[in-house]
Amino acid sequence: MKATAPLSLSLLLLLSGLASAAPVEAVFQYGSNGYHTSADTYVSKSTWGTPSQITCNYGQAPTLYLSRNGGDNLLLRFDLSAIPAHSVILSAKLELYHVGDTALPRVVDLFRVTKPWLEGNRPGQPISAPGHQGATGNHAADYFENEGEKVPWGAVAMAPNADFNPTVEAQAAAGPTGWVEWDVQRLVAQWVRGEHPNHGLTLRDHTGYQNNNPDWRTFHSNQAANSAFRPRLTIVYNPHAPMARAGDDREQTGWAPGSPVEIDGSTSADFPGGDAPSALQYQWRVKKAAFGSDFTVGQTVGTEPLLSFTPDVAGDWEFELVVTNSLGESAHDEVALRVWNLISTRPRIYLTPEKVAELQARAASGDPRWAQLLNHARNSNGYHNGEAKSKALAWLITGEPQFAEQAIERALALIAETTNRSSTRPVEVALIYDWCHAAITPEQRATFLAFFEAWMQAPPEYNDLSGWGNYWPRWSQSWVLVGLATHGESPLALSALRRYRDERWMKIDVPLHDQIADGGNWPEGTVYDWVANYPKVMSIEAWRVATGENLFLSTDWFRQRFGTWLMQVWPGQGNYYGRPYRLYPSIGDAERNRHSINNYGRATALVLGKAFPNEPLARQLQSTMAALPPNNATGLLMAEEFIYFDAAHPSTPPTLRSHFARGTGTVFMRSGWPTGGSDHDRNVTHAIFQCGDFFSYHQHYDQNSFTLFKGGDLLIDSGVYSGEGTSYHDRNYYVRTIAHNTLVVYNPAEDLRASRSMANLNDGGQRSPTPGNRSPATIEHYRDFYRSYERGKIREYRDTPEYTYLVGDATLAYNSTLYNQAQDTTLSGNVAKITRYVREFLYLRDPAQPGASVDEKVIVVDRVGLAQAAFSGSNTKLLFHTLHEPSVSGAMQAISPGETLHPHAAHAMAQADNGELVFQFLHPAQRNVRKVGGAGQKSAWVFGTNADYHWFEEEPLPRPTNGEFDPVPYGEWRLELEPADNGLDHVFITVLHPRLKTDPEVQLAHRIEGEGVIGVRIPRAGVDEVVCFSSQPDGSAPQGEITLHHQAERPVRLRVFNLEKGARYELSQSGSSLTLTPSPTGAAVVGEDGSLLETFAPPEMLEIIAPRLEQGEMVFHVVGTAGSSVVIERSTDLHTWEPAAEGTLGSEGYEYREPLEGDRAFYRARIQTP
Amino acid sequence: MIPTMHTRFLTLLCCTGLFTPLLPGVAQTSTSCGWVRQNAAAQGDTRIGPALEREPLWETRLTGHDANTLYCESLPGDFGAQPCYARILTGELAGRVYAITGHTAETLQLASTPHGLEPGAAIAITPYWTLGTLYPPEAVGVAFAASASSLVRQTELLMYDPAAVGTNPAPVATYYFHNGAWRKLGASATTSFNDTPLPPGTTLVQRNKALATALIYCGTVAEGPQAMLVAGRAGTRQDYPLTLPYPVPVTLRESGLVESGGFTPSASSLVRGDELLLFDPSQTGPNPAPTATYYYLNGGWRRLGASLATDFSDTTTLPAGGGFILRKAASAPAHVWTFLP
Repeated sequence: MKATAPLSLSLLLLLSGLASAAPVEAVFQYGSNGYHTSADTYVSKSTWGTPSQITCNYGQAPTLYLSRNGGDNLLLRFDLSAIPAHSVILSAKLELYHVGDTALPRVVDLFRVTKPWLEGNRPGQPISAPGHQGATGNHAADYFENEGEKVPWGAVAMAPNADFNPTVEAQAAAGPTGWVEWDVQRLVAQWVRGEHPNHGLTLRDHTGYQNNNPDWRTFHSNQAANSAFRPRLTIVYNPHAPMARAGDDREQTGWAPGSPVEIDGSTSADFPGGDAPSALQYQWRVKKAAFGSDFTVGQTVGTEPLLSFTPDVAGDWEFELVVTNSLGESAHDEVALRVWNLISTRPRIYLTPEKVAELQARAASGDPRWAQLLNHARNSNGYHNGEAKSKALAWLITGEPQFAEQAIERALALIAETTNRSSTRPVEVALIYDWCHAAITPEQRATFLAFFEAWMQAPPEYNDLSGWGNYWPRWSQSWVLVGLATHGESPLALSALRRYRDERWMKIDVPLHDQIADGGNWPEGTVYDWVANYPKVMSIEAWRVATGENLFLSTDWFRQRFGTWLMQVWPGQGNYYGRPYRLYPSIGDAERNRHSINNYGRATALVLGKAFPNEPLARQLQSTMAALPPNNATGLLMAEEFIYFDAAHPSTPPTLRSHFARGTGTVFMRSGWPTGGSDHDRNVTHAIFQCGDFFSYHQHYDQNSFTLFKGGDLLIDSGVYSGEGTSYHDRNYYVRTIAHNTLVVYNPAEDLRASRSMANLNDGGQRSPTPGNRSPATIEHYRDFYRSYERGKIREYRDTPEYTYLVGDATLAYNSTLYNQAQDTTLSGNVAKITRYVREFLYLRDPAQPGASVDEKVIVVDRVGLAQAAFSGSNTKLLFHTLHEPSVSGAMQAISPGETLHPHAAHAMAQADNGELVFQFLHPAQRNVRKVGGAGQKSAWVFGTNADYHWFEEEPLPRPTNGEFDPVPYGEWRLELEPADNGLDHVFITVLHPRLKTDPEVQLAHRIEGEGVIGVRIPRAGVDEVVCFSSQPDGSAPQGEITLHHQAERPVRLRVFNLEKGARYELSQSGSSLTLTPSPTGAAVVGEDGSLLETFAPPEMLEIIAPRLEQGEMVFHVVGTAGSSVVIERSTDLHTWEPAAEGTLGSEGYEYREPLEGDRAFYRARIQTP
Repeated sequence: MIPTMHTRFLTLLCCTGLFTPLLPGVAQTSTSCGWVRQNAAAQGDTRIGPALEREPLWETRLTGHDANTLYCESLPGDFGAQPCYARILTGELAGRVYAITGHTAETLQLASTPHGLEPGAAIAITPYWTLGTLYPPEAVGVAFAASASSLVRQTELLMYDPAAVGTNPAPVATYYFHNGAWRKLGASATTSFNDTPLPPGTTLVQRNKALATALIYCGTVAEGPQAMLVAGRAGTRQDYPLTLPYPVPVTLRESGLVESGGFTPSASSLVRGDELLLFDPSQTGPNPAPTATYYYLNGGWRRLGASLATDFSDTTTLPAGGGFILRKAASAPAHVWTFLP
């Protein structure tokens, strides 16, 4: 129960001048109007003074000091007992008089103090003599020797939670001399209504260190000589309001669906002398509905003092009670209601008796998945992943005791083996305990329960850390499964369930998932998506089945997952969904030989598909899962496959061609689904572009990178994963920017060692999260250190049948002029190295065959701004990692074994499996291309060191194949595109031609220059695709007229990007120029992605061919569009032209003859215009 | 029946009509062609060079180049066994000409590296004029006189080596027409030199005997820039016998010699920079002296011996198809003379 702010109705009545509802203003200021019951002091954690400030009490000091980062913190308390408890607080402001002008303000947070404290009687001296007392840095109450009971703070100078509520109640800025004001209306209301004991408030610094901003602020205290400048609290309240009491918060864990719950508001009352309770009006409104409810926020559900409410779903509810008296004055209160349908029957984990009956019926009907499961249960020993689970489920379906015996034997063995508090063993043990409960003997049950209770009471393990990681959800799954397994049998069970639901999922996880919800992607890549989110989804499914509360709706992240799942694996893998091997792009930490792990993904998708059956993308995903996983798939999947696969689940063929996961800054693209849900065509084109923020450990420093697949891995995230992420190769190469297809800028003084534990090489890449943690644990930490995690944004995204276009801005991923670590850390060498890194990515689909794709282009525009010329030239590299050694055109200079330089190279080519990628480097004119790589040479070259894939730097090659690393290298070559000069601004345009080796020859692109734009012309079937971009280094829209130089000889499809959205242009062509002129009435309108599309034909063709002399005559043919009327013009000086003949072009043109007379004659043809 | 139609244009025809124009049509005019007559006096030396270009064989665009190997968007499979040159039509090198020494379906091999050539540049591939195409056998008796033997020669065509050092260079080769083909003095009289290429800008000296001749030929009119490299030599003046490949007279101002940096101005009438030597085609006798020498001083063209107050910029012309000598001053810097029609 908690009371909240007054209603506006009260204020309206007050303003209308009703005598009975007149507001009262009270000013509380020490020494004014006989008021002497306020207290103030400050507590310090400083130790540099003599005597140490930490030991001093400042209760009687004339000034109050506040200093940065919690160094000195104010305490104030006002006695408010003069205000009637039922009053509505209309306003309340706290004012302190600040002395000492500062140019920069310092923000001061106000918190509610939760612990009693003693103002004290010292003016800034230690408690060192009889009679001395008061709050100090160490104590909320300190006394000389044994004169009183000392009460320590939770930490020196107060600790959040222990000493004050960490929620900021109000903020104000102290800058110029004068009154500083905090709005404390809500806090005063809580005190007056008795919702919190009035222990006063504390004022603490928010700003922290700021250059040129003094660290401290000084305010007048209650002891200030001039009483007018002492702290004051001004409250306006209405004493004629009723008191609403909605009762205590409620919890019914055994709620039966459909049954009502009563909430009692009958203790509400009017102010003394006001209306009788029966004369009051009551209104109950929904303030928060449980997840999945049809009730809406604000909906009225009752008008009587006693509310009888029937929830439509289980979960957490909040209601607001509004009580109104005959004066029209209102007050409200809130109450929370929790209803769980926590079932007491077994099984209860994932299954119910009803669900078992349904499965038994399905098994009896010959379900092939049951046959598969039964075979697995019979023929496995129960000790591998999923085997005991299969046996336990077989027991539930068949009742054959040997299955239960074997499963229980496995569980007991696990219990016996447990030497530490494993995160995941309780999951398997709890599941077997629940499913085989009826077969467990009393002695065995005691063993199980002892194990569970010991586990629940043990202190947290080192790896049980929250955040976007994978251990935390594994522990969570143990908490919920152990809680459910022991519910009704252990007094710790409910606590375990609340811990899972409230403290872990709702408090920690939901805000983290909300942060990445848009698009439903996982920041650590495919493998850790499966590893982290399988236990997460299974936990929530277990919770949903056992309690009725659908936490899948607690964040939108789950609902948005399907697009990511559809698109995150390579094409041609649909029919591998459920097989031991399903290849996937290496995004984030990902072992490529991690066979069975993709089954986590399938199980998770099956569960979520049932949770969101009406999501269109869930239906598309379902179509990719139709095939029965083969018997040789790991047993991990068998139980989930049988329980969750539903052949009747709505399914539609996949059509998704692009998916933007804004939450993580990831865009998935593919050319189409030519083989539908079976998806067995590996010739489909697939690309992933990444430009988002930093979230978690297994994520890579890869913003503005992309991968490209067609018939094979054409552009890849290179390197191999060690299995835990800390090998020499992992930390210095694999996770780092250098291993990805993006930008590196080498600043030799930069320190990037905090990128991973024990990293020691400078790869010229994106900055480490310092001063933030590599694995931010909570959304609060993430937001507090957002500058550390803020990396990239996809500023434009548009998907059309013709193209996908996006703009990634990864400037903040590097130490840049926007932010660099030299500003606020000890990494003084980490100065700004770039001013800009914006990458435009245009995937032009095959206009003729959108599904299969034979004519696709990728245009990449890189806008790189450098902070110093020293970082330019060969220190600036755009990287393109290939699976095998590429070939590069042009002259070659051998630099060293494994490195060649190709000045001004225009082309390169790389092949992989059936695919081939042709590179064209078209802008800038002054460029170099370097080919770097080679096993044992520069396969993982990091500016002077080959960080090849071994565990330790000193470990000799050949590389280890110890089961952790992949046995084969993955990408030992790269191309480095560099500017050939040391300029600060560079714009690169690279055209990529992904193709199959068997496709028709590539039609190469051509560079186009212009005024306001630069671009390329790509010959495509029947048309020249002309694509232009702003020539401004920062990509800003060109101002004024735009001209591009292109002699149109074929039909042209012109696309111009980077224009002002909604702008209009007139398009004209003259000779070899195309001009876009801004015009309010222009027919060409710029679209939402800042692009303009125009299609037009070249000027009508007309040409003279085959001029010759025949028998004293000049003879030639005019050719052009048949039927055109032409005029032949004649001249003898090439200045003055006279008509000589007229004619009509036939199918073979028009022949002209003229006798030779004089010394010369010249001819031309002109289209006859009407 | 059209006798020839180059493949490039066939492509264009095929494209036409695929799209409905969204823009109003632009008045379209073809390139120009024509014919010229160049007379050469009897018993005289006449400087002659092609004023028209042969019809281009192909136009393409550069996709990139490695040194002197050019990657092109498209090329004809067959150049017709005729020597060709590549003229750059757009970009920084517009107007420059490079001899083609080989080609494939995708590449052109040039005799030298076009430094600074950028992808996207338009390139025309044009057959050279040769002795046999400019002076075809069927023009005997009109454009030239046939010789009875190598010892009894009538019309001679004297060719100069543009790399020859110094002034008034001797011809590097002398050709005569005998027995149905052009022969080279000093070579076997049965060897045909009909295919001897005449690069753009070439000057021949046509040395007639008894017969006054009229060379008549046709071709296309250059409409883009024409660029020629003219470089001085250390310690000596250097002659470049040239012909402007343009079929009408061009004033000195229009020639762009000075404006394009192809001509070094003089410090005074006595300390002259580059000189331009013009000839009178009606002169008779061998090795005639130039009829006038021009230099550039104080913002105008001056004629040696004439008043310095007279500017010949707009009154003196380079003859259409007529040869002249550009005499570079000693140690004059290298220039590219670019003529913009």
